[in-house]
Amino acid sequence: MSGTSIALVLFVGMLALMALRVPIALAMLVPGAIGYVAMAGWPPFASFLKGLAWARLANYDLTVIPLFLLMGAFATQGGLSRSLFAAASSMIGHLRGGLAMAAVMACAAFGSVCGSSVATAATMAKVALPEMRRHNYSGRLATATLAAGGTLGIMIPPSVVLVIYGILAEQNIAKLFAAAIIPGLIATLGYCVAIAIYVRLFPGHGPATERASMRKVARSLRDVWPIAAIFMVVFGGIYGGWFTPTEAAAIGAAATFLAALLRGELTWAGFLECFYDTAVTTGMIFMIFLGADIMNSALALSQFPAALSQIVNGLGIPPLAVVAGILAFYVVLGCVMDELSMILLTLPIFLPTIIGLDLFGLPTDLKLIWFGILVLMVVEIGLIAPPVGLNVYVINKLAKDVPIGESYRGVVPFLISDVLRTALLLIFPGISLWLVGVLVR
Amino acid sequence: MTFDDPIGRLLERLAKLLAIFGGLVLTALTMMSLYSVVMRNLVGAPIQGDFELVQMGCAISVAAFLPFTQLRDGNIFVDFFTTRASAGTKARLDGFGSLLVAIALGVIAWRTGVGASDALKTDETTMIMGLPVWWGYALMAPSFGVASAAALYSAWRHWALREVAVSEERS
Repeated sequence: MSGTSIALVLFVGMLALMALRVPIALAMLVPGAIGYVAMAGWPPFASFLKGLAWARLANYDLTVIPLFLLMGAFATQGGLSRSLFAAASSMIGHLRGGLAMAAVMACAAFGSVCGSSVATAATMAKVALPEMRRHNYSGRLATATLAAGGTLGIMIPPSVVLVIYGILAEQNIAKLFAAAIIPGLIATLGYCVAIAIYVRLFPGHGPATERASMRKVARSLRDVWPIAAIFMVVFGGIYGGWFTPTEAAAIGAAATFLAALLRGELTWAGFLECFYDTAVTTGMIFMIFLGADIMNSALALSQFPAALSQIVNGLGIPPLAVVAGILAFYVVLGCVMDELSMILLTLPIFLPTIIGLDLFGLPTDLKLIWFGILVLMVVEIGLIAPPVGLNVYVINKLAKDVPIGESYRGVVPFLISDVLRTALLLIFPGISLWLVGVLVR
Repeated sequence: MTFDDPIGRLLERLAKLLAIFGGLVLTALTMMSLYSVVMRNLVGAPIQGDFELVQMGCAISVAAFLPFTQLRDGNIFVDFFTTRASAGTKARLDGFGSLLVAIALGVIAWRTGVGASDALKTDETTMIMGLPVWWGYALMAPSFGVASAAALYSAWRHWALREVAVSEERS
């Protein structure tokens, strides 16, 4: 049997297990293990397994994942989202659709201390959803705004998804974060524009409210300075060359813990909850890592990734069309598969192809950084696009009176904004890469 | 998460203890990094090889998180194809999935244990601090074992009590 047909059998096995509700980590691990043993025999696989856990878990770059998750958990339990939303809504809440725009901005700001999307969406929803509903915002706009706003959690650094990409593609995490900053700001702006257009086309979804007094604005701004300070220290430290991303994550976690403690909202039970939350999410991510590692080792034995790269290069398709095709494939796969597992599984297969393409004459590292930002955009789309937009589900569960169909209808303007931005970043790599050159030398 | 049988309660207590242990190790690492960064940038005297401690500590804490993940059924799965299936079918499939998790984690626990004894025999140490690598292996293996037991227990709950897993996804 040829390598490519072995790879296909492994994929079919994986998809079959997935359809049977087997955890994705195991749906990758089991066919991978069987394929590995079938191709190389048990003794090599046994010795591979012996070092697997150590090789995967004791990895300096990967340590940022639990640390950033802990930081996000402290920010969540400490109630930092409330201050952010209060500050943003006191400034622009009175505009038509203003509370929704304020929620988007608060999500973006929360994203600067939190690296996960669902956590950002859920924690912001607890504060912003009741407020929007109280001011007669439609359930459609309110839930969709928070689902989309949550994706800014992974757009604005720190970002767990980008860290994982960076490790797989062997790219500098500081550079990847730098490349995500401008696209993240464009995303924030794009969502606000989408809201502004939507409430003008369909008035009544986001009515204007009363303007806050100057004193209230000043007071609410005073409450958010710790978050700005944490962001400055963490990223100032990385780009000032004072510490590594892992150290930055450690310091950020410590600082966020202090900020939460000083606000007086972090209880002992909340503190333990931070550990439990970090534990479940970290455990889930590393289970997928272990499964994807075994599957990818088997695929590497079958030499499928190299074969794919050769085939694609031989087809003579324009390089940009290949990239667009891969992104489109991700959007489709993301309909049935969790985005994180999707990246872990497919990147080792696609990376040789991307490296082999001539894209704007970029050197390999910049090419992979740019591609990483594009992958991030696609993950974002997958998080809110039907039929299984994770964020939409999570938010919709919190808003009990809103039917899920309403939420998906509301997501459309945000999706349009996402697609336009992805196209923009695909055609102009400079938007992502410019800041990399400025910040990292 | 509260269980009403003795095995469940024991596993829950173990998993929570390990999760808190992992969390405390992580917190200790944050403090050490803070100290090292300050010393390096102000005094020019960092902790030599501190990243080795971070690496080993993180591996130990991530492994310690796994039992809790398993007990909470925290693995991501796809429920897209089984939305119309009956609760009984779903519970049986979930039990099958948990059993696979238990087997895989059991094998990994065993192989990591073998890795520990190999690293002990060859006296493998880290580059700068000279920490024995087998410490890391030896502190990870029991966590994998407990995680495997937790997955086995949740397989039993899915089968015997017909509990359906909730896809509580977090990425």
